[in-house]
Amino acid sequence: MKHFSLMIRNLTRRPGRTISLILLTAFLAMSLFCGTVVVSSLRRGLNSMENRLGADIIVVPAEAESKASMKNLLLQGTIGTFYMDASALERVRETEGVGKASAQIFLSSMKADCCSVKVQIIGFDPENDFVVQPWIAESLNHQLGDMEVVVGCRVETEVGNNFRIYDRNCLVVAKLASTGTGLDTAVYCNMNTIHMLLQAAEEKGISHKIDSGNDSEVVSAIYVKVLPGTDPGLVNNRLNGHVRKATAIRTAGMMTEVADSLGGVSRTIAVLIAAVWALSLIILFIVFSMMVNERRRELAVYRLLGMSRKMLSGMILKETALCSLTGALCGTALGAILVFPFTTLIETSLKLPYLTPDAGSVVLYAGIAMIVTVLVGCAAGSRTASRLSRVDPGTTLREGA
Amino acid sequence: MKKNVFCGILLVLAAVIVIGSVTVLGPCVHEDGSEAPCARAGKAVFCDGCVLAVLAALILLIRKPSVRIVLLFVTLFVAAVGIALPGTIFPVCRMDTMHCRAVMQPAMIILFASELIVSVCGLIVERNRIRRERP
Repeated sequence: MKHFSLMIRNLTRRPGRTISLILLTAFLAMSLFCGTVVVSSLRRGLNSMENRLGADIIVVPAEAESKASMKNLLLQGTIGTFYMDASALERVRETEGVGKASAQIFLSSMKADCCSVKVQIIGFDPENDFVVQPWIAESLNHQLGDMEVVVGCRVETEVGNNFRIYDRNCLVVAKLASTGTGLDTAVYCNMNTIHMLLQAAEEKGISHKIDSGNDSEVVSAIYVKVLPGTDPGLVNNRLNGHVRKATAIRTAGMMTEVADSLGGVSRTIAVLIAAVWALSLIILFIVFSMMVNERRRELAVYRLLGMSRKMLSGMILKETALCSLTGALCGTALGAILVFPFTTLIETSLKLPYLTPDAGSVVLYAGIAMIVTVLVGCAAGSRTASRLSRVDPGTTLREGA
Repeated sequence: MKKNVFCGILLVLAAVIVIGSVTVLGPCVHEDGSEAPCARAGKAVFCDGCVLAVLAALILLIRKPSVRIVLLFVTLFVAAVGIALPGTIFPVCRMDTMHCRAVMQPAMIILFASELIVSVCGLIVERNRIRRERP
């Protein structure tokens, strides 16, 4: 207790030095914690996207500019309203190697219907669907009825509320779990509902430029699962040749692109963390080296008062550990304040799937960041501690006199 | 010296709130010029920030400890109200990808919470000073 109070008095006697040590270690902990959380969130987002996609190939109208439109729709929730003739679904099913095929129809809401932004409305066929249905089944235990909708976790409404789309009231029957992708801002309904909504949109004067003029004979995208043992690339080529005015896109290619972008972001974050750590460590070593000269006389007095070398180096190490621990706690807390409230901002800025880790993982990352920071702080201080403990009190005090 | 440090931080935070609410930390802006649902929340945050800036300036100028304590209490209350302004007292947009939900609301909550914490620290320092000066 006596040593502890001496340690505290040593630290408070020089507030400038103590605060700079705390700030440096806080910076180290914050960079490590924030970097780890962001990279881990990106990895979780990619895994979630892979799990949710479920299809091997997506067939979209040629004018949908294929990959870019679908990728933006999946990652950022960009509104995609493109249509092709519903007969494309039959042609896809007839194609050799196709195991399952399920169509979806996209529609965007008006700005004023909700929240001052458009939301993507996705109509799917619950009978044949293998993409959305398994995911919806986690939150809804009955078949999706007419004028019933399931909303993504980021659509601000609650189960049991009415969601107004083109002056039609739709009942919210379930809210989906977060995926970290653009699909979190979408609204899902069955084919009857989407046709009613398409009609309501037409009545409000919003043209969807449907070539056939009949909105019950259109689809926006067809999701394809190939037969087991079949090469998806081969089926993709067959679909491109077999289905007119449409483009087949392999989801694996899209995932690879996302994984590449994620790799790039992870590398950049790793380089930034390394740069911050290198810089902070250099400053930390300089601060400790300066401390050797500054505290030489003070420690010589301690030695004269009867403190052993071991006790002296222990005291310096404990001071460093206390500063590092305070800094690590402050840094981790500051990192949490910076990362968690701005999750949406980070996600929209990176334009990559982003899913925040669960509480257990966050506590683990915080713990690791704090332990590493305290260890590095102590390692930087140990050299100083050993140098200062070897101070010859007589010579030092004579030199200073 | 210590009392002015807290007032200085209060003033800087208030300035960040005021400038932020009309620039990067402000409400959503519609391309067609129409008013977003979060516009009133943005205006309220701006007004609250102005009140905090005036209070911080007064605390900085006034030397009488009892008046400073009262002003710090008012600052604490205004900051607490500020936390509830975007989203609780005034509505914000309903999609959490909107600028007001992704940037304005969290940033303002953090800034007003910091203002509240600093005013509490200022109050403690001021009370200790009065106790020390008492004969």
